[in-house]
Amino acid sequence: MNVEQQPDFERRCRELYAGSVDSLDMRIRSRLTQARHAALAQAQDGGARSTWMKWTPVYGAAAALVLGVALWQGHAPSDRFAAMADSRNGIEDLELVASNEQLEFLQDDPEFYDWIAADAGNGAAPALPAPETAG
Amino acid sequence: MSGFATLSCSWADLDGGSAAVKDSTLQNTRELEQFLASVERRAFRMAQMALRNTDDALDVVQEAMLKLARNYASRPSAEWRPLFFRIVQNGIRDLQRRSMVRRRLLAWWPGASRDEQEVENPIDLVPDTAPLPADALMQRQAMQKLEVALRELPARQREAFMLRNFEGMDVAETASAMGCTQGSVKTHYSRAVHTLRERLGEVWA
Repeated sequence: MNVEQQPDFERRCRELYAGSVDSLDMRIRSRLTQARHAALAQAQDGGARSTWMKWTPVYGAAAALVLGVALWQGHAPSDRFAAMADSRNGIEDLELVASNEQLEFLQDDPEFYDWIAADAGNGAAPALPAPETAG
Repeated sequence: MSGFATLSCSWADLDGGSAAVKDSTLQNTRELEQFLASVERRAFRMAQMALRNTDDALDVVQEAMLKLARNYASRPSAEWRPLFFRIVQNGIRDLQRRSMVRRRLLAWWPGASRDEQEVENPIDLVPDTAPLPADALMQRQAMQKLEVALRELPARQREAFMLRNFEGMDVAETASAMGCTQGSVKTHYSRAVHTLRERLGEVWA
């Protein structure tokens, strides 16, 4: 083998190949362009999907955590309802105190309302005060 | 108020960071498209020479483009070429292996005729009758002879020759694309050149 001829041979091979690439017809070129665009588009879709898929375990863990907290809170619903009822009563009391119209009736018979308050505080019914007699 | 100002700056920073990431991604996609446009025809010709089928060659190139874009787009662009041609060569080898298995199965299938076996695309077999200038005609004939000689080479020698000679890769890049050592590349390439010279030297002289 003549070593000096080898680069010429290799160069000729390379030139022939380059010529065959340049002479590709338009149909092949067009199909390659379409293939390139399709590949890039699919890769972008796949990338978006894989990003979403990557976070799926996190979404699952968060959902499980929320469900667990909800179930744990659900063990004592009566206490929460009682607290809600107390707060509702407090609001109603506040409305009573704030209303001028409803405070007027307290001035009619204050002893009667003292008796009701004492009854509510002691849990036992005190003797009803004797009605005032005229004269 | 100062808290609000700090918060506003933070959001602005975040917004700017997001825009920068988008710009970077867009730039990367453009670079990748330019790279693919620069190699797709050469890759197609390599696949076509090895597979002797236009549609199969197009499939191999499209699959290689998709795999590169999907799996290696974030890698440095300097690595794209050996990676891309490695995917192409793997695709060629897979198709060759599959078609070999199919041919063997069909040979055992009772009543299987030559018509049912895989044949080359008939369009590819129709001779081009368009008039060509003498130089172009000679070039085409010389290329056809080179293609025939390349097909007769062992697969690894053909790969080494295509990547080193046609694609102009250095030994390290070729080794990366072929998934072998640089020493193997040198051996395969040297043998390929020797064989081709023996077969084509007289014809081209």
